[in-house]
Amino acid sequence: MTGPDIPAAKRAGLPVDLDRLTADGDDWLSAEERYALKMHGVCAQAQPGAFMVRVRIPGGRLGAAAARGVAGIADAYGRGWIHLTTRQQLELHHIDARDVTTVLDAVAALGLTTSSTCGHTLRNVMACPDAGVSIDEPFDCHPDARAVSDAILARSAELNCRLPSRVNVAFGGCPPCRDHARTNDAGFVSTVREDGALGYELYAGGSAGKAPFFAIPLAAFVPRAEVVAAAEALIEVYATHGDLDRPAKGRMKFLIRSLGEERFVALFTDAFARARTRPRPEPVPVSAPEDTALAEVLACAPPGGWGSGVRPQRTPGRAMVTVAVPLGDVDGEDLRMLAALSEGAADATLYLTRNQNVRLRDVALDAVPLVRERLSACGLSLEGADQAVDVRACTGGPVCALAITPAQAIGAALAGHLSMVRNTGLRVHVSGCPNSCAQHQIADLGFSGGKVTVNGTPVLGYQVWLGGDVPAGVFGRIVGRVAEADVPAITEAIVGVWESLRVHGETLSRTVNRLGLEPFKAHIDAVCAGRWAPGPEPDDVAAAERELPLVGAAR
Amino acid sequence: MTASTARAVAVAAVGDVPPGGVHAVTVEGRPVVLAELDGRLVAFDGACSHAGGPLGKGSIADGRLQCPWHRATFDLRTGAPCAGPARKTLRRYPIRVEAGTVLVVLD
Repeated sequence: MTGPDIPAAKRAGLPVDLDRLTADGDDWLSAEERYALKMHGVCAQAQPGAFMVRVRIPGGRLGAAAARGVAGIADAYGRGWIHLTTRQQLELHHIDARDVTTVLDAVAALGLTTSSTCGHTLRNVMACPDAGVSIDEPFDCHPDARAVSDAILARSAELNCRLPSRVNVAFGGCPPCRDHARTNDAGFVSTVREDGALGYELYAGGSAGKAPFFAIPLAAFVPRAEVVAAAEALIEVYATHGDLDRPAKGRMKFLIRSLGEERFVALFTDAFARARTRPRPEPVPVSAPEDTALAEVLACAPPGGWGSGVRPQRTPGRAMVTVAVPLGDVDGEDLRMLAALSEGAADATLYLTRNQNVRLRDVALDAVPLVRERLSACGLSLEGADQAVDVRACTGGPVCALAITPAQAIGAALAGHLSMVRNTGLRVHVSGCPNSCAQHQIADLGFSGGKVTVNGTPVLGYQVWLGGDVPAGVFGRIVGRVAEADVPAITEAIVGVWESLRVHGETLSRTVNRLGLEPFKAHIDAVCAGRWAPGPEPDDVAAAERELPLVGAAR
Repeated sequence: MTASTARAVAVAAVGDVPPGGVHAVTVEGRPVVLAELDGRLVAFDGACSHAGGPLGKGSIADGRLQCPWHRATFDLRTGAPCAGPARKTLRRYPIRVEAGTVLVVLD
């Protein structure tokens, strides 16, 4: 089957007959109509007649009642499987073509939507899951993230026909989220101006993919009251000047490269000036942490103490508790349990994180052991627990139609690998293709699936990325490639040399970026001789050279 | 006392299940996998408890059934996951063999 003519589909208005899908199944769909389904959050799986439905969760906030409802939908139509994504969303799989509209209606009845979660759309607007209770954020950025999501989504019918590619937007408050925001097309980083005004630094054009690119600074300060105007202006510049006819070069980062940063900033500045003149609702009041309360917050600790899975929030006597979800996979039973737990021990909301985990907030310190106990009964644990290795994986093959390798199989193998168990702080991301749904470029150790050449033989395997360190402004680099069966061996080799070279508790990425790739290559060669090939796949070298970004690129 | 609603449904001939192999059937819309373990037949959910993969296309080694999708592996005596990404035990169905026919007992 040939791929869709996406520009033609957009110019035609992205029509697709959902009623006919329900009545007749999907055999009649053209490639363009299959693309148009993505505007509704519906993506064909590799299995004939089966679809994935992605549910938009702005800022990752999922109410307990809605979570219970999603669990029911998954049980009824999706073999009980719910996948948590790295954009704080939920995915349901195995939806029969004839059940798609029923599922969309059921999701809508929960007060949720699947709109614009796939294809070239404004994807889920991310926000710091700690927003509103964090002790180290300038202020609560979630209401502004929600306002931007609602404003742009309301225009999706028009915008989805004009956007050259997807638009990822993220709001950062706490330090890790602030860094992460710069890997998005639009990154809003909360800040307090010297005069006390609340607003955002705005960055544009970040993305991962084959040519990873950190966002460039676009505006030093956008007041809260103008944040929707800024988002609209940025999207207007992108839709007006981006390359609709070449989707592969459609992302905002390529527009910035073709126009030049100065011209892009000037276009935004003009568009922003126009957008600011339109009347907007006043931003809702937001809370901010108070320095004076910190001592009171930290005066008490939960049983077992603080850690990455149990963190203080700005309400004294309460904690944020992060449930580690292996590979981001839960089933209906898990989700119902988490919903009940959030109602009984937290604030009746599940906060989905970009690490594919679930955070509970407002947990009384003396209730933390109960939470641990309840999770353990379901085979889950808190982040940072001995068994909680941080391995991210996309859906991968053979479910995702775009995937080349079964990312979850490797993810599971690595999660139980001794080198991981020895180093639970390692960040390992596995993508089943170069599209980087698991963001392998920002991990300590990343894997991108594909056909790779080892010893002159093409095999299904992975390119191995080392040293992604977003806070340091560094994307990972490809150290080499291996067949799928040799992923554990190369992992052991890499972790082994890191353990021998690291100093002062260095992360793997910091060691890689201090010493370079050569010591790692030499050690891998000694351990995996004949079973790996150094450097990127030759085809990707050419692609990387063609797509070499101007600034902020991976080194 | 609750009246039993259990019913036995004929799903395959005994010979359909290869020695040391699996056979996929659908019982009232549910995928079920039949497997041979130590000369006896067992029946489990046919959808992997991890991601719904087709266990009826899986493979058996050392008394374990492996899903072809992500290599989730289950103990054929109990259905419990023992390797790979699955965390949940497979549902086991009682079965009977009558006159060379395999019957799966449903609730």
